[in-house]
Amino acid sequence: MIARSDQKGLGFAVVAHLLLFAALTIGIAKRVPPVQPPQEVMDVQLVDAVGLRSAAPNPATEAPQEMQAPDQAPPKDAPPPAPSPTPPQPKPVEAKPQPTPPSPVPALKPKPQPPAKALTDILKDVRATAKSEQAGSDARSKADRASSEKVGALLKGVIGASAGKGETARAPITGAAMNGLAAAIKRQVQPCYELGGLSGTPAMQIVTTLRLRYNKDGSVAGNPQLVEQTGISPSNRAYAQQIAEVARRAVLRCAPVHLPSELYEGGWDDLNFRFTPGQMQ
Amino acid sequence: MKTWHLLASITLALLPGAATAQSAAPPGPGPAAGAGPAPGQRLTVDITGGISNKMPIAIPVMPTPNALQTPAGATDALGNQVSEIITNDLKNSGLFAPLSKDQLRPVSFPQVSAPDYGAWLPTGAQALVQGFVQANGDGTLTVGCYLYDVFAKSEMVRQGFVVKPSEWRRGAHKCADTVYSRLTGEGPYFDSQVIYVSETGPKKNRTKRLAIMDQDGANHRFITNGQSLVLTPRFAPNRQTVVFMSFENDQPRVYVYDVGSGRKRLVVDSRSTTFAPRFSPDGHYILFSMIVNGNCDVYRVSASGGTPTRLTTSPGIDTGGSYSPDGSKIVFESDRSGTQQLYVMNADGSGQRRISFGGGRYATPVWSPRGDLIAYTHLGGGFSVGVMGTDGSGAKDLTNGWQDEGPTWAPNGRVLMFFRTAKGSGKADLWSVDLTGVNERAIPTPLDGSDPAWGPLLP
Amino acid sequence: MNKTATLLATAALIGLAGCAKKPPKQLPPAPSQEVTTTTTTTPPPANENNGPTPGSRADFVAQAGSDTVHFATDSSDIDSEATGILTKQAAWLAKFPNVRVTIEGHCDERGTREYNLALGDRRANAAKNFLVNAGVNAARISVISYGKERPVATGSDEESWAQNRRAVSVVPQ
Repeated sequence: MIARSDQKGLGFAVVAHLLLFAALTIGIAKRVPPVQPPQEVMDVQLVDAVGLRSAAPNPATEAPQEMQAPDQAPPKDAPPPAPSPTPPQPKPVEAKPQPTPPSPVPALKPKPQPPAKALTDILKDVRATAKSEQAGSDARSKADRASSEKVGALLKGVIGASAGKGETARAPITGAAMNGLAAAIKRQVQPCYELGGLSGTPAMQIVTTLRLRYNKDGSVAGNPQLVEQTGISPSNRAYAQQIAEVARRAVLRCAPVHLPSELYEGGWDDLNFRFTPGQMQ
Repeated sequence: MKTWHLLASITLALLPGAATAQSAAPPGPGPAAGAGPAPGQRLTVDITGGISNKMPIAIPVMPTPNALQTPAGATDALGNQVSEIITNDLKNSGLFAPLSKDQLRPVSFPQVSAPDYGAWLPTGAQALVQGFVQANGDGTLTVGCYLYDVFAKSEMVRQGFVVKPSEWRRGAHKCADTVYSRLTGEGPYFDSQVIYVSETGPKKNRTKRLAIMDQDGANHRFITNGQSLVLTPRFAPNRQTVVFMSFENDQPRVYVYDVGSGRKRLVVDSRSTTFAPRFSPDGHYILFSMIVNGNCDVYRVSASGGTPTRLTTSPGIDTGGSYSPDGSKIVFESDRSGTQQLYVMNADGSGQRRISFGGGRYATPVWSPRGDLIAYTHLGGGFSVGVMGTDGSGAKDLTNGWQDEGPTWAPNGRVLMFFRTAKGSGKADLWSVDLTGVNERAIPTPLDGSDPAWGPLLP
Repeated sequence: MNKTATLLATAALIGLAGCAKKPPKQLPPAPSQEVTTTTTTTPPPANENNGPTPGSRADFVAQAGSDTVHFATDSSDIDSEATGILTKQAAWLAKFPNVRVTIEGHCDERGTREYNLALGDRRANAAKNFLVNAGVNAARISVISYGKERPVATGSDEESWAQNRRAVSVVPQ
């Protein structure tokens, strides 16, 4: 028979655990509705602090001021182009830059319901998620670079490599499912990969990797971002921007995509595309 | 008992940590082609093999803020013509598929800088060119030019061009060049001219006249009257002067001709036969071939006249010199080895070495304005136009007519013009082809044509 | 005098043979084929009253047999047939020392334009050199190349091309 004091202690311990569980569950419940993306600045800091790989976005390929061709000089005997007085002002010299694209995936995303599992499993996932989100929200509320770095370190230690990529741990999808998903996405996007005038030029050596996020309805979320280009040499540097735009155009044209919703999380919600212009031999 | 409870509590408290450790993704390499990414890592979809195609592009009629009369016509009519010139330039480059007229919709002046992307998306156009034509108070015209990415829904480039009414077509070509360069990464070439030999008459006795036209065939005019046989005209870099060979007075010699004044003079004061002239890229020198004592060699003379310098000395036929764009080297043809082949030398004549080693003979070399390639006529069974590296590597024939001959480069080094002679009739016509071998097309001229030379891009 | 001329001709032949780059790829057409050029007129039958004026172009063609010699592809070698014709041309030119002669060099259409101008010049010069070696004063002879610009035969076949590879000795009417 358990001693009375022990009973009290055990009961207290059980209740405390149940309270903790309840508190966490309610806390999660609060977060199930999508959280507004946090301030750009804050996210960038957080990502920088924890990223093992730089996830700082290159400006989307449409930002013209980066690789703009030199301005044409007007015909030699003509005065410089003058703006028109009527509504659209045709400023002829500089291209107007587009608004900068949205920030990259915030370090902490809203976490939809994980699939039904055994209680202990739920607890495990929830606690893992809760800890990272709590830590993240702490960092946000502090709005302080020093403390965000500390939190970042904390996240690193607690969550491990997945947070090292600046993201929460995802619900794992099997390798086989991922392969099928990649094949399905390729089938839908490949037909839009059109090279135009770049076909047959040294631009064919440039491999372009884009990062893209899809909404659940299959539409493209925000703007694709240029992750990297390889194979650039003096003979094809002049085509780098154009071949990146060809890749971007492919994903924008072949949208919305039609893919299984159960593979959205950790699958096609946020992914990379690697475009190789030439046929693989 | 207490100990057990304590242990249980500690274990429970540690569960999250343990659980997290179990669910943490182990760091590892990115997803291999055959395996999905490790949990927590991003999927990478590999797309290989792009489609070679022409980019669908919409070029609606350009509106005008005010329809006014100008020496070039009414501005609204000009807007229509400007969009047609741009459409033809882009279509004839072989890299674009402009929407047909029935797929286009009118664009209002305010929409020029605020495009209705939604209206263009269903057409499949990937790019949209909008603009306007406006009469300025001082008698000039402004051609406004805007390029949009339809699917990214963003502006790519905008530029305005102020032109004299007599040169209004240049505003259209400049806009087409802006669009072309921005979308392909290539240099511009639409705002340029071509000089060539216009031919007519029976095969035994062709009448040949020099003619100049815009690269799209417009503004065509003859500059000689056909009384003397004329051959191989070439522009000076400033396009104000032309060199060509004429048989007038039964003496085949090279003349330097001022297009504006119509005056001409001999390139060298000599009775010897001279031919195959070409300007240096800086306009200071004229290369030409001269036959002295039965021996044909490449010479160089100052463009303002004087004593020529002999650059080749072999007893073979050395002719057809062409400078590299930096002026440091010259490519020419010589049969010193027994057959016509290509040779490169320094601009002072030193360091002559053969660069063509494919089967057959090679002739009429022309150095690309980009400096990276040399175009040639390849003589085998027939004549083909092709390109090779400046060291002779990678020689590739691009055309396969019966006699395709005499290539000349567009200012951007991407397009070649040449002339094609028909078997039997001997009729010659101008043709062009893209460097990638696509878009072999006939250039319309009033009569037959041969010996084209593409002038530089207009400033 | 004849012996000297023959000796000189032989010496010239040997000299030319030494310079030959390669043997002719094909023989020019047989002499019996009618060859007309834009610069000749059909000579009227020789007749004491109606014969061609001595020293005229018609007379030249009648006496020399032909004003044209032909060449193998890519070649400017004077072959045996050309030798015979040029020898007779030289003899006629010796009879009329005041007559100037222009030798036109021509090519067939299967060459590029600029190279053919040079090759035509080579052919004309080859004929000129033969005449000079046969005793004709070089100052009487001028040379002009027309490259492939003035064919006499308009077909795109071996026979036409063979006719077009030629050097024509033109004397005033």
